Amino acid sequence: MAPNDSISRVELLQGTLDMLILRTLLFGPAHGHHIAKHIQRTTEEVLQVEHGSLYPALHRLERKGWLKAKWEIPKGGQRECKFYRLTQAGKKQLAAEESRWRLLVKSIGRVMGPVKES
Amino acid sequence: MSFWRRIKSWWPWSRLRAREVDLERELQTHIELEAEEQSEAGVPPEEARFAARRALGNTTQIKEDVRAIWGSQWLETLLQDIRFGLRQFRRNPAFTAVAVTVAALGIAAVCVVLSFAEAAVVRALPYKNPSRLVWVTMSDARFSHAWDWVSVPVFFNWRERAKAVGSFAASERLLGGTLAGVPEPTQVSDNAISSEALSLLGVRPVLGRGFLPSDYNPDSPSVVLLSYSLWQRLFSGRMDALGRAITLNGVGHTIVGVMPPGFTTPGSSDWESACWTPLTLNAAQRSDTQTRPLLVWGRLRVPRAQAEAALDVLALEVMRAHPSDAGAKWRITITPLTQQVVEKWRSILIVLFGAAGFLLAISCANVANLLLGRAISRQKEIAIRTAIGAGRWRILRQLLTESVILGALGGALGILLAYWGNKLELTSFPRALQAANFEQMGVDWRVLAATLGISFVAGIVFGLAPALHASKSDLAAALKEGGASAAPRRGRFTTQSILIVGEIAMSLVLLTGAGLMLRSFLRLEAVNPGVDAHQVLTMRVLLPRYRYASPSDQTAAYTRLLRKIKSVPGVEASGFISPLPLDGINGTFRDTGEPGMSNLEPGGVITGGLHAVSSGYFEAMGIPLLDGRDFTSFDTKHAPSVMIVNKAFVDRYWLGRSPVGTGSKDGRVVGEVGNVRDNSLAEEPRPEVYVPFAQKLFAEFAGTIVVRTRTPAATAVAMQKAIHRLDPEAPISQIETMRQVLRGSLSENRFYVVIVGGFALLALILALAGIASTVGYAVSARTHEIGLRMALGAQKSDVLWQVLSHGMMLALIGIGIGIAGALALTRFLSSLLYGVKPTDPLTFVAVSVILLGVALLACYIPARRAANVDPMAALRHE
Repeated sequence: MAPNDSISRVELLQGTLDMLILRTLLFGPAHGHHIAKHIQRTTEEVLQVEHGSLYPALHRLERKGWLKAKWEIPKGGQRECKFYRLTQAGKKQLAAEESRWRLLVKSIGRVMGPVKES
Repeated sequence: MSFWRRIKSWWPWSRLRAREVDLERELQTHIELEAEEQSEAGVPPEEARFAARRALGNTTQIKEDVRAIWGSQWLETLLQDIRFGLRQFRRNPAFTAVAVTVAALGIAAVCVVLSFAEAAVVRALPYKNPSRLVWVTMSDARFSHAWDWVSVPVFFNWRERAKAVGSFAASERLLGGTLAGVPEPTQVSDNAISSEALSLLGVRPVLGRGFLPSDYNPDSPSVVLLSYSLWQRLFSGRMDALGRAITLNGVGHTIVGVMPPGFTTPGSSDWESACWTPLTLNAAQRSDTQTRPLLVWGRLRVPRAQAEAALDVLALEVMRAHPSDAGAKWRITITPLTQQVVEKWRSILIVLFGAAGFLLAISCANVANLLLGRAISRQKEIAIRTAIGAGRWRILRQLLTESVILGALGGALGILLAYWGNKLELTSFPRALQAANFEQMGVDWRVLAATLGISFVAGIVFGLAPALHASKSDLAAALKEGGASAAPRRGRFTTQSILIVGEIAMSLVLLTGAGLMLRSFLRLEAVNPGVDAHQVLTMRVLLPRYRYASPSDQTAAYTRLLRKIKSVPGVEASGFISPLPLDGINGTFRDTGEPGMSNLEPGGVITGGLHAVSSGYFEAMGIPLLDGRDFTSFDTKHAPSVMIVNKAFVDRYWLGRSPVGTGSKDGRVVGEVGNVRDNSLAEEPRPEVYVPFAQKLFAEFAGTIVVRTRTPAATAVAMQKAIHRLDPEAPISQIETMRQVLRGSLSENRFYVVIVGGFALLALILALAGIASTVGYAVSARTHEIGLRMALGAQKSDVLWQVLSHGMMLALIGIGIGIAGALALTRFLSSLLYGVKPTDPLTFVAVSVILLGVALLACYIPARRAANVDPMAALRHE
């Protein structure tokens, strides 16, 4: 559990939220709540997804045809949840965004110099 | 899923609904999952739910963002606005009723004029693709006026050789036919049409069939197509009319079909008693260039200029091969059918649309004033909305939505009013305009769509100013307790004043137009027609030509008839004329002038009107004999040809000298009679020539018997009996007094005066109401100020004077602007006015005075109210 007062919450840009969602769903379908929790956990609480921006993002991605949604009952649960899964087009989009991201990171890295490990 | 559910799910509304429900469900699930997590982490259930909600954040915002992604946000807000607007209207039924009615009046006026215009212009050509149909006419370039007709061989040449240029058809009006073999012999106009004329027009018979190629064979049995009205009238719409044999002009014909209601071939105006036969011509007739003129129309395949040139060449080919008039310079002209129709109606439609448009503008101004007045009570509501984040544009949109709804409601009521208005209009439709296209005048889909569009625009127009005003509210002042009646904003008063001034100006223009038309009509009514219409009865009669072996037999029959009429009880004087003046038909003569004549037409030609009359006609009609003598029974076919001319003839060609004795052996002038307004009451009398019908009877015009009698009704019955004793099959029609004929000739003018006058009256009432309500409103809003003044010493009369003077000032400004506008616009009326200038000072002054009086009246009541304000009560009223 990382304190979120020492490391200030980094604000996510809209484009990156899309990418994170797509990436999360690469491992399998999930519903909105799960996606939010997953990102939170995996980034050790640094990235707190504003739930307020999560759902619009999900619907936007669905509209663009990168996600498909369906109401299902998760394993081990009783309540029906709306599950999102990646489409073929979504997978392609993820790959494209990922390569763009890595290029961006590399370029910034060149300017900033190597990351010092403390 | 049930059928109904299936339909509902297809409807976009349901899809949106379903999406909304889905999203709500998704968010709820999220909250529940989060709450579960929280309680697992040890938070108590109530807290957990609360925390979960907080974590999710503003659900409304989320929903709006998602809706923005769906793109349906605008629809959601529109629905919201509409719902809110309707609720507002329900809560203020009085206001809504008044606003809707006022808007409806203006919209109804426009709708009625649209129906009329549609019937006049769009319906005038009941054919397929009427905009592509053209007239083809052949004229001799030497003569100034064009002939309408084309000679037979030219037409057939075009048919054969000009297929690449276009398809053509022709019709020939075989004038004055009689239909017999039916319960009541009827006079019909028989039109002969070429083959494929009907398919060219794109019209199919509503019963039976059209003409087959075999029908055009001169040897095959004669067939006829009836008009719808004829079918209804003679056979009561029975199906067994098909195949029945009737006689047309003495020749047996079989009925093979019935045409749709209101059908006519181009150029023919008779649609009621019309029938059609195949244009069958033998070889000799086909090469005759003179005797049978045809009306030709068609659809072009090449551009017009090219077509004209091509047809010209072919026509010249024919005309040169049959030289009848060497030196003739033939020229082909092609004009679209629609052009003729539009030109005929252009000026009157401009006036009618202008009048309706002004009325609509005035009613919009009234509604705008009403909305401005109501803006006060909504100040608080709008201030609150602004305070919680509504942008100015958002508020504007809401207010405009409301006013558009108002406009739509007004449009609906207006269409209903127009529907009744049209029915009313049709009951008093002018005889001069009776035609098939007007019979079915009404609100059809075109008019409906246009009217709804106009209602929509009107809603925006009258809502704009009030909305702009209301959305500009001063937040702080409005939110204060009692801010509602604090400082009434200057801005609103100015806008209301401008609207009132505009209303008055437009009313003035409209009233001036109506006044001018009324004066012109009264002048026309007072014109001396030249006949003494007092106690004169007319009756149109036709002794069918085919019943008599020769023209002289027919003439003899008419003579016998007239003798019989003379002895009918009640007849003081009688005569016969063809055609009757002011009846819509006229004959013309054209001849070479004599030496000694002046003012000849180019080519040394004299021209004018032509009538065939019997002796005694002038006496019966009360036309004075100015010189020479009337015709007598001695002026028969074997006697020398004579004629009588009118004063206009003498004044023009003989410069006032006595014409008796002039003329040639073709016609010696024996007398001169007074002028009669023949064509229309508005036109100056032109030269007329009268010939004895015994010497020159026209087969094509039925004659009218004219009798002077004190008991028209009884005499009419007796005359009919007498005529039928002589010839039971003679069709009799149009029995009316000369007074009625005169009235009939003015019926169109009267019609327009009534319509424009009606609009002007409505405008006056609306202006009155508008001024009264606006001034009344201003008085209520200023009650506090008035009370203060009175407390400080102002007298009742001072207050009265202040209100009145403010109102009158607005009125005067409005009248001034109106006069300027009217001076500029009444020129559009000039073609419709008789004896009155478009800038007639008397009308302008009268209208201004009336409007001033109305404004005074409208201001008076609120002024009285202001003067009766109790200062104590007013000061207490914050």
